[in-house]
Amino acid sequence: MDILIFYAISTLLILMSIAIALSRRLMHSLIFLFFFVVLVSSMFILLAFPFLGVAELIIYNGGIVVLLTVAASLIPEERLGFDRKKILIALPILMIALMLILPFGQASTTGVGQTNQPSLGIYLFSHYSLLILVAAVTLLASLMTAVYFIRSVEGE
Amino acid sequence: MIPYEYIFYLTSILFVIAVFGMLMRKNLINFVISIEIVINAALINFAAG
Repeated sequence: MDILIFYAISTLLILMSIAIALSRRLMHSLIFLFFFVVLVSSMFILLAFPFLGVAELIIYNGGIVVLLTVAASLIPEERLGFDRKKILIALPILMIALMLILPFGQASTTGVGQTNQPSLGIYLFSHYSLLILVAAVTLLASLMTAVYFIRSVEGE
Repeated sequence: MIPYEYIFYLTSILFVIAVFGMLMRKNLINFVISIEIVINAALINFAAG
């Protein structure tokens, strides 16, 4: 069963990385990167590294993808090729796919015993609560820094 | 249990695709996104090894 989930996640990972490499628009690349990070974190949970998976999700999707989106929003729209309608269609599809992928990663029997979502949360916040708090505060500080930079750019 | 060779093949494919993406792009943010793929492939490889 594990090997089938591994095949599914790795196929999606390769497809997402090809999509990132070939998509012409920056916003599409960022959305594919978001989904790529979710797949990588489910791969970590499948490989029995739950903290690494959650830290990947927090740091990459919470920090780096958001910061890259902020950086992309500073580029003028005509150079960005921003297509609002297509993104509005693509985002719900990607969100539904995300909700389907994450429980598969957690269903692994090689993980932390018989994991499911509540036991994974209890495991993380009983063993690594301070580390998750530090990561969250660091990301909050980085977001504040990004807002400060944007305001200073607009003020010029 | 997933064999290590499979994960090594997967991360090698991801690395090659990301290097291809890095060479194709001229925009700096696209370059950074491709570097993120390389970093994630290396992370999966470290975790599995």
